[in-house]
Amino acid sequence: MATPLLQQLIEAFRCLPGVGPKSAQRMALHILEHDRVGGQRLAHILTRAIDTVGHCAQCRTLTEQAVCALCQNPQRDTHTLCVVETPADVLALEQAAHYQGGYFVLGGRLSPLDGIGPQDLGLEQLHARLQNSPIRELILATTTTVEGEATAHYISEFAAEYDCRVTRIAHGVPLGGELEYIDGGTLAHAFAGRYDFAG
Amino acid sequence: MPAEPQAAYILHTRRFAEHSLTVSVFTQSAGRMTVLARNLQAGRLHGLLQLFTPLFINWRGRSTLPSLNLLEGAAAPHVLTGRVCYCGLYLNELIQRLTAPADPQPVLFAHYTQSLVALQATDGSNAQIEPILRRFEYHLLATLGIGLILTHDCRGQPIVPGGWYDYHPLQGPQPASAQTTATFRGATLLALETHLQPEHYREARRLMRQVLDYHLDGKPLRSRTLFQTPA
Repeated sequence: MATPLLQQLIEAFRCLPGVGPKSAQRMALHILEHDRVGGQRLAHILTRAIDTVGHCAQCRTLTEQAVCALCQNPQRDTHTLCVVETPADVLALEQAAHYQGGYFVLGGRLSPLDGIGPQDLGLEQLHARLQNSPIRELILATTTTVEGEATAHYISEFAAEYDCRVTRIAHGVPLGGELEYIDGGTLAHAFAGRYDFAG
Repeated sequence: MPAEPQAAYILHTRRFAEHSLTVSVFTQSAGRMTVLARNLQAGRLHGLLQLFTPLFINWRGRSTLPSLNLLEGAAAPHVLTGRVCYCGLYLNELIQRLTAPADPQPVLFAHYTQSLVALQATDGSNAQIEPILRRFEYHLLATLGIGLILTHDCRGQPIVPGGWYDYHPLQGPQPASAQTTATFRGATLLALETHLQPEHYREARRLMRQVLDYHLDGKPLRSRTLFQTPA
């Protein structure tokens, strides 16, 4: 039978995504039995991170500075802005694409059934950004779900009043994908978005 | 577990764990329910787990969260873009908020399908989407047993097209002594029962909003905010 403190620790681990009662118990027991130093480090860093990591004043990604390193970087193109849903998307794009512009992190996507409306996505801040800095291209890199599309449409509607090109990331057949195994929706999108092929 | 695959639409998905989602579905013969979709590493299923896509699904397990064990596309997805997509999200929110889980609603399912087909064919203008939304709301309330009373007032008298009425969500129309911002024309009530004309749209929307808000216990629908002009 777990003692009250141990029980509390197990419960506390369950706040992590994908961690059920069994995994939480394993984590708690592992820390107490095998890795108290690691546990102490985790507790220390966790407290520090929660106290100091906030959102970048410009792009809303996670950072412990007022403005993140990416936004401060003078090498980056300030005329292009890529709108993404989460800080994880910024990391993914930074690793994968040779993109040199700035980002704007919404922190979610329009999803009425999750209770997320336009006022929850920092859109006033995006408005201000479009108003105050000379953005030539706004890249909408929200997910390719219905909610992601709705979000992209909502942003494109208000971006229309500014003099900037609004683009949407392409979606379709994944690299190495065989057509016969791709679902109808994806295939239909890929087909509708076909482009002139220069060989 | 149903013997045969069920026609269904997805209303909403939520991440459950790394490779699984809880999926709120609206099925033809079992009503609205929540199932667990596991093992989603294969990208193929993600393409199908989208809103407004006609699906065949099946599930197993008797718990409150049965597992999805069959997922197939039944037809091409209804492509709702822009404002029309907001309408689809609105229908989903209405179903999610107003229907009870595991309460079979085959008639409402048919109306939902019809509404999606009709929405897909519109250009997104108010003139085209308003009658579709009002029709769906009308049928939704009717199938839930809280339908509007539109032909007679609360004293049993027929509705007069030129008259003015207050509308009580449970008792129905009550003759009003004078026109106010809260009253409705008799003609609008009658048109909601039969066929809406453009001159009825504004009042019909106000009436539906009033009745729906009553049944939603005053908790607002989030999808409505999408239609407001961005800040």
